[in-house]
Amino acid sequence: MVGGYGGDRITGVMEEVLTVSQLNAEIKDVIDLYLGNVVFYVEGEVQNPYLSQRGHLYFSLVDETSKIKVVLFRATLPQDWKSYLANKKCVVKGKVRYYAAKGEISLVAEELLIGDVGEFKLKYDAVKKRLYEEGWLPKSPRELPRFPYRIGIICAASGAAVQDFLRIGRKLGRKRIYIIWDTKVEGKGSVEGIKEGLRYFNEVSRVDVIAIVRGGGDKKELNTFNDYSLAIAILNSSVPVVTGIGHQIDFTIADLVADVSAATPTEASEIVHSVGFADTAEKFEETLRELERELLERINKTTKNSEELIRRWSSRLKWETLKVRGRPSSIVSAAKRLFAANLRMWKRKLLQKTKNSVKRAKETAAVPPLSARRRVEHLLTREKDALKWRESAFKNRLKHLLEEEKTRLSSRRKSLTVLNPENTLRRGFTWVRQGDKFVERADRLARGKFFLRFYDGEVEVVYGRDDEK
Amino acid sequence: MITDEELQELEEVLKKMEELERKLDEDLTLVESFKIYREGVKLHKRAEELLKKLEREILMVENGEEVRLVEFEETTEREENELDE
Repeated sequence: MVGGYGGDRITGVMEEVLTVSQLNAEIKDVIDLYLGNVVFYVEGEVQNPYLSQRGHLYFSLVDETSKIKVVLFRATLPQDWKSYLANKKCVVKGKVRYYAAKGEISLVAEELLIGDVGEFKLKYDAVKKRLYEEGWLPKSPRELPRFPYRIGIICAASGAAVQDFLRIGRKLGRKRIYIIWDTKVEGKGSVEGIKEGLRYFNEVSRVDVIAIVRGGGDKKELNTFNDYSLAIAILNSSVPVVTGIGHQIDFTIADLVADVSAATPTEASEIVHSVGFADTAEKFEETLRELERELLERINKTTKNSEELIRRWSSRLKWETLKVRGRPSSIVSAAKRLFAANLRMWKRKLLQKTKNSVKRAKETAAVPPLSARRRVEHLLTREKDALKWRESAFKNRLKHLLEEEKTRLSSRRKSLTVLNPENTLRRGFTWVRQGDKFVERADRLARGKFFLRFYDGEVEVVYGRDDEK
Repeated sequence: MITDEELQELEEVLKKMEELERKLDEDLTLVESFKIYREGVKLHKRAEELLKKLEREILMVENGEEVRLVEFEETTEREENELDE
């Protein structure tokens, strides 16, 4: 039973007198409330089957001590129901209904699980229930290894299931070591054979993954995989187990307890072979190629950016150099400020050192006062000398800078003197000016008045005939 | 034939490759990308060497011995087609 339909027990006395109908209605309400939505699987023998004119089948389901009426409506009735029901055991899947008019409880069947199907279902449910009770279920399935290389296959070696399994591996081009454990997969000895295979792959020849596969079959054949001890062996396997048992509609206890349950052997194989060693490497190779292209692009771009940056900084540096050269006086004043600041700092330090020395000398009892004074005087003298030396060195440096600057200015003055146009005029040359413009070529001199400029003044001259004047 | 140690190494190499691929999804500097590229090239080279050692083999346990089978390796074209269908 999954779920529950319990509740507080109802007690008390109904003071009101009810009719039969009212009582039956009350009973129906209670049954519908607590049992109406519960699906039961009930096992028993069929007695007195009767097909009504409307096509519904009625019969009693009995065991050693009890019986219950069952109705199977026409829509769910199998055509060959007679052959199914003749004194056969069956399992009825259905819900309980109370018919108030007759005051009868019936089981309204949704499905008849006849013979092996019923047996399969009963066994499956019983083992599942036991595994839950014992705490084996629910199970947290383990992940299959990412790259299984050694694969143990438990199967009937002559069956189609193992062929399907191997074909998938070959089709995908997988290189794997397959170890086949050949065993019966149905009937007597099958459970032991499969369990032995599990032990072999766990203890003797360890593999990365175990696949239990078999093809389809009737329910009776598949009941091997509902075995409790087999379920425990699978649960105890330290190697992950994949099952691919029967067809898609088949689901067994082995599937329930396996780490991965595939619908068919082919699907189990696809799962085991899903990741290929070589595929992973090939995919990675492609990624590397893409990365290589991307890196080259990025390096090219970065180089271009760096070149641009160098060019920009280079021109900025040139400009700054020119600015500094053009302002020697500002350098001198900056140097003076710097020197003054340094001087103040040295003086402060010297004063502090002197004070500290005096303090230490006073504190040292072993040193006579005279000796301390001498040490202080010596220290003062040394610091003064140092200061003088620094001052002299700085002055020399400053003098040198000023000399250099003077020389540079003198050289510029000389250049300017050489380039001075007045000097050219002094050497006997003249300028020709006509209006506001100086005339450099003879063919540009217009007739009329113009001026000759000497170094000491200008003379007006007329170009052309007297009558044109 | 690949040894157990080499097989383990191959598995680690392939896992590292997958890790590097995941790293590449992140926002990386040029230097970081270049480091991954260099590491990736080394890993790929090693993977190639190890992959060559893998084999496809089918063994059957018979009386406690693992016997090599050959008949499963033969597959006709018709069977492959059936499988495709």
